[in-house]
Amino acid sequence: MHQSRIRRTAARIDRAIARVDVPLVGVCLLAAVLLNVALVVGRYLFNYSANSVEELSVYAVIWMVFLGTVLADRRGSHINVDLLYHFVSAVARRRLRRIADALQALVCLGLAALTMKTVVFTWRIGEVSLSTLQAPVWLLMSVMPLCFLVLALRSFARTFGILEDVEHREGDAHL
Amino acid sequence: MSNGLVLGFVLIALFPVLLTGTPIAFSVVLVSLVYLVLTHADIGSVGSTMFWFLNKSELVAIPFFILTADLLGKSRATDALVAAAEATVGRMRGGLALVAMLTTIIFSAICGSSVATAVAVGRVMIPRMVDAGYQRRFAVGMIAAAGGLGILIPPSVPLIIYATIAEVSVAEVFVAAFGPGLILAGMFCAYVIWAGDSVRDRAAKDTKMPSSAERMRAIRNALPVLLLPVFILGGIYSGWFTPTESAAVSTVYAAVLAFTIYRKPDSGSLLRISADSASVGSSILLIMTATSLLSYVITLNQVPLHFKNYVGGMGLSPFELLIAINLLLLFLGCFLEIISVMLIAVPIFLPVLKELDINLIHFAIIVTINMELAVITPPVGMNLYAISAISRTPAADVLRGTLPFMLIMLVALLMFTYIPSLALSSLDLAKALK
Repeated sequence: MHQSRIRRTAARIDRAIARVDVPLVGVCLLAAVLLNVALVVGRYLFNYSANSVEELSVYAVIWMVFLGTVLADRRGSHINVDLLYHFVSAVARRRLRRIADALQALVCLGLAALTMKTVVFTWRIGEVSLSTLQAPVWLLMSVMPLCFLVLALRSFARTFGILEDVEHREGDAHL
Repeated sequence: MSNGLVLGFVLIALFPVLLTGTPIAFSVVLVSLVYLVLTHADIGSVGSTMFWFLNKSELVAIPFFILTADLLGKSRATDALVAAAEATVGRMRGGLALVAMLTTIIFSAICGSSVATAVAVGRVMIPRMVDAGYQRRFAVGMIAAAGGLGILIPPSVPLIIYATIAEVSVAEVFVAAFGPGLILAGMFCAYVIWAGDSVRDRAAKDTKMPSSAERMRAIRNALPVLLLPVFILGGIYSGWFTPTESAAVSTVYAAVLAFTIYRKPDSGSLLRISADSASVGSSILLIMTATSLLSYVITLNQVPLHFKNYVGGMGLSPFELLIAINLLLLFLGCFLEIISVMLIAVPIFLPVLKELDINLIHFAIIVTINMELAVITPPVGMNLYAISAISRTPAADVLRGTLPFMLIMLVALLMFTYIPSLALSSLDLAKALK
């Protein structure tokens, strides 16, 4: 009873994340594209160039990377080596997936802690970006601990069977 | 235990961790963190290392090129390219195989990834080739191998990554890769024409002879997408755009094409396609930032310096060094995916390449052809599995089908390694024209 409530709550949180990750990640990438096009238009049509626009597009892509990592994890589309999965039984496959989830959870938890330390440090020293934008670096970096924490919790939940396994999709990788 | 020994252990430990199916990015971070903890090295800079690694405007082009490919891949652009190729070369010896090859070459000049190229062309061409009597093994092998052109013919994600690591101009690397890309494509086409009917179970006619009006219509339909490579390369080399701006402009152009003339009813919304591309782009960039941690660990151990001293002590000539590097890259390419190979191996090779005065743009071509081979060599040949999945053919059959093309690529690798003027022919030509 208690366990099924935990499962339902975890699934509900995961669905809530799923509702926002696609638009957030999509918007970050489109924003970066448009900012770069704006640079070209500004340069050739209005003889105007601002390095802060280029910097903003880089930050949009950095946010896209970390938010996209959460999305890729939900879809099971992170690039991995699934060679062994082709040669073992379904039970062994499930066990391998649990091990992979546990390792991912540990790494992400470590990264969440380490990146949080970096965010706090940059906030304390008041570091700002070098261009005219003068953006607070801690704010730009804050996406890292947040996303790694979500990944850690989700991978732990999968390890202990609270969330369902992700089936890795084939033919989606882009290398 | 010495730090070098710890590094050796963690690098060996990377392979079993990868085999569990843990994403490559997290596997690489895991072994890097274990090394840093065991050697009591500074672990506090991990967050900033990862963040500042991504803070490079050249890397921004990677998701842009992926989005461009996705937009066109989900529209009718590939069909238009196939129709134009069919109208042009469909009746030649080699027929549909040559059509598939030509479509792959054009798609490679739009898309920066080998798997995306192989999948986009394979989905349309493999069933058609099999229906026309081509041996399935030949069809799948050809598409898997030709997809590798996607990373040699610019724009190319691995070329951007190489340029970032080696600190050379992305524009020059793109222009330099164009010539070898076309030469290799020409070698593939020559083989396809030579093989002719021997790779077909039945000698059916591929296509009916198009009238000149039909031919013109097919080319006109494909013209908007055929202009895209001109935009990308022309824009970069004329100095109008930086590579990143060129990628952004081509994305907008591709979006306009995908949602107007090449629109498919089931292509999905722009936001959905953008999120799909971002998801793939983030997986690639996450591997890159994770591998930057491993590079940091490798640099802490002064591995590049030790490698340089070791090679210097052996007194190798550039000729011998390049043979050794090719063999090492081919070996690593079998077991690691290509971005990891580039990010780990290239920084180690750079000091010795500079010492022996080997042109770093020439080396970009060598590395990329090695990586083309890596995407079709097991156990981690991504094109093999992608084509196996979309064509429902056993990966072993796809591998057998790639063997003649692998041989051609090895010949090309030797040519481009030992004839630098051939590898740099398009760059030299572009410089002369300027």
